Amino acid sequence: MPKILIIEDEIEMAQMYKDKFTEQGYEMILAFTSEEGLEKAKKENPDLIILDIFLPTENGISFLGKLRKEPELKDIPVVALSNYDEPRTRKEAQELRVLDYLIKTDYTPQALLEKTKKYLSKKD
Amino acid sequence: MDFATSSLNLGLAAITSFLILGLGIVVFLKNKHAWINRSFGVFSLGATIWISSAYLSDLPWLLTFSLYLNRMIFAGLSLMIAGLCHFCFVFPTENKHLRFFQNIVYSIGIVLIFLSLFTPLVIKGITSTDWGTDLITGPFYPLFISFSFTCILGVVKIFREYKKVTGVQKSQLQYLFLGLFLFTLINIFIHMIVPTIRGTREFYQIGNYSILFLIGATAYAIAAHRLFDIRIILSEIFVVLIGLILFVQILTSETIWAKVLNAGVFVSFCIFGYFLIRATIREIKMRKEVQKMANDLEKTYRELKKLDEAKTEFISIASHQLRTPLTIVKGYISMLMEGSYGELPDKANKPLKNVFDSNERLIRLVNDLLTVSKVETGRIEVEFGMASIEEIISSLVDEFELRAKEKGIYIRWEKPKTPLPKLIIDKEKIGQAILNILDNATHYTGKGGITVKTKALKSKIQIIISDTGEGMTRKEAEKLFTSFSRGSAGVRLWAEGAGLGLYIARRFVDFHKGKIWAESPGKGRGSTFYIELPMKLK
Repeated sequence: MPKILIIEDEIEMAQMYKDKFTEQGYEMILAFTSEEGLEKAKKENPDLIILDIFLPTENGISFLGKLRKEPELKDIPVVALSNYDEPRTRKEAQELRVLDYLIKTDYTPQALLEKTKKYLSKKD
Repeated sequence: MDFATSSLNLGLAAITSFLILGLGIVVFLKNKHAWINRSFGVFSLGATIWISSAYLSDLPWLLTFSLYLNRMIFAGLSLMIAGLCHFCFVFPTENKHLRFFQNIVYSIGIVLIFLSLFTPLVIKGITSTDWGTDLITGPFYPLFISFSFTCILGVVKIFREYKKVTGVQKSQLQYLFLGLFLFTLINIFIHMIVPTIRGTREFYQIGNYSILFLIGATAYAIAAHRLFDIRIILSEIFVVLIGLILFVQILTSETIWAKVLNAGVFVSFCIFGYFLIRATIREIKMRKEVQKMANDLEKTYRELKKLDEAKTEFISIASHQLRTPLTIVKGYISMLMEGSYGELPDKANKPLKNVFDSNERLIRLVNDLLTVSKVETGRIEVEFGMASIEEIISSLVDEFELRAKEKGIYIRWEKPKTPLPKLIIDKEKIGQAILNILDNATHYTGKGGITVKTKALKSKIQIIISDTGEGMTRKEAEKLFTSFSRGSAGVRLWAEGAGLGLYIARRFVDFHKGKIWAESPGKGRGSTFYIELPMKLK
């Protein structure tokens, strides 16, 4: 069962994605801050991380930077999922090897799920 | 010494002492608490003691006190050197690291004052000469000479500071350097060159009086609120000096004709000098005004840039905040419609679809606002690559088929018989431009349909989108691609949108150095939209 870690500070949104993905048989782990995300990534070793950029205290770019420095975590694929569409932030995320930078309003949970299946199949 | 010379000496000594002491008092009283003013006061006091003692020590009727007066000279000089050093350490700004050194300088200065006044260790004795008294130096005289070189440290400090400061402080230091330069130059001449040529130090007093240049320039630098540009002062000094020389030449001319000629030269030079100084003042004033304007412009530009960045940041953040609830609504409504939360009654489907569609409209509006903001602030990224116009159009037409069907209109894509060459374009931007036109056409067409064609011209490709919709007047067609323009038909037919879609289409076509326009036979007779792109082949 693929394990997905979602780092998203909006609880309703995180729950919404969890409901859809769980329905389709994925194991979902939720984190609401960057620090919590890093802890859970170390503990759970997910197959994919879906990462929001606008997070409290420390943003998603900072999380990515730390993730890529951890030897056991640096190769976990990450997809940025954010409503913050700023070229500089996109570039920073791409430099930190995100698979994609998606805008949330472009995707229903189902559409995001379809995308996730493609990312996971590429990984395999 | 004759009466004229001794009178001249008295006059110079009195004036110099009076001026130096007066300046010292004025500057000290201006701000008693500032170290700059205090150290300058000490410097002036020391210089006054030196100058007046030097004059008095050469007077025949004070021969009995000559030794003490000569020792007073060195006490005055020690005080002056200590004050000058301190002044350099604190002017125009204090260097706190030099405080310890400053205290050492004062300590040595006090010791030398004591040794000079009360012991024969600095000045052992005096000898009489034709021109006055000469000194017999004591064993500590070299210490005094070494002490006088501490001034060099002060000069080095202000010289280093000169490179860093700007504006008024720079002007102040320029005056200080001018005074130092003149004082040093005159003393080198009087104490080194003249004794070498004449073998005597009889003119040493002139060297002493030149301290007035240093003190005068320094006092001006400290006390004046608005300093004249030093170039003006130098021009004036130059003109006055040359004028004086020419005037002396008139007086020393031997024949009447020589006098007349020299007078003519003098008058001409005075006129020339006046215009030179006036031109210098004007030029400096103009340069300062230009510099001020440039500085103001620079400041305004920086403020505008900050505002612009703040605005862009605000719009990015505002869009993010607006999009968050829209994402949640979109997500949950879609999941409800998909049955993720159980089966819903049939009659719930249409209302849910309406909510979903309205939410999508809002999302598009926010997206358009963000795009316009990025375009107008130059923050849009254009990524050129090889792309097929036909593929872009095919994909979009497929997307619009469902909407067209729901509206009861057709959408046709008339593919060219000969495939079009691939172009170097930003696929996403051109796709967005075509999508916005199709979106516009769909909304303004109530019956009939939309046809999409392409046409290859000599060095261009045209994308032609025709509809059987409401049409427009020529005036409306001209204004169509400006922001917030919908044409009068839009008021009735299309309540959504802020008229941004076509404006964005135009800006994206502009990035490709293309053209976009619309034509219509008139109201109720449909419209044709054209996008023309230059054929940039690999």
